[in-house]
Amino acid sequence: MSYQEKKHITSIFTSLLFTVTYCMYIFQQYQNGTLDKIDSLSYWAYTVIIILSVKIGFNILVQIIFSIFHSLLSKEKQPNLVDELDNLIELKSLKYAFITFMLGFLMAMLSAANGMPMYVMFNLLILSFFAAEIVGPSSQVYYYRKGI
Amino acid sequence: MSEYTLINNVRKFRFNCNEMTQQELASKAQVSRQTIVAIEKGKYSPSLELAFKIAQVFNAPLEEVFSYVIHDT
Repeated sequence: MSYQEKKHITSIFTSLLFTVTYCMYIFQQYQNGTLDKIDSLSYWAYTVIIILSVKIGFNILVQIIFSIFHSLLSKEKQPNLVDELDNLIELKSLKYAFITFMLGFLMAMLSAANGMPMYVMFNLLILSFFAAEIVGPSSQVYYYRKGI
Repeated sequence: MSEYTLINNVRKFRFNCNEMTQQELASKAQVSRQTIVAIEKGKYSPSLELAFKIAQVFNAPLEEVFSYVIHDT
């Protein structure tokens, strides 16, 4: 397995872990009835900013730890060359991640248009971001394995 | 109906160049080894620029390294 594949698989697991943790937290809040009480737009906006910032920071941290462990365990140097194949695969995966997020965004807007509670819209937005973070690296792994 | 396939002789040319390794070819063509592996396996069709670079490494005409074959299906 190549360095890129390992890197993207690590990224998928990080995103899955984050998504599961978030879903568990939200489900707990839903069961407690806390979600229905929150009706402030600024609260949800603040939550989205915090979650996205933490997720990005966590991703960077995991990638640094992965690079260190990878160089220690495999004695293999991290490739510092990004060639046309890498760029092409990245573009394709970005497209799929973008489509995933757009579908989530559309669902969130539909939920708001149908008069659903505010937390449904914001959670759909957050979850579509997480889904895009899973779809992107997954399609990269797929293209590295199958080819273009 | 006709189908087009890009055939490459990169493996054969590497063998003829004193068993040049994939890494050596990758360094000379300024790409990663993974890209050379993908090209050899036919999983990736390189850009025209990369195809020329690879042909130049082998000091051979482009059409000897890469060929475009038509199949009738």
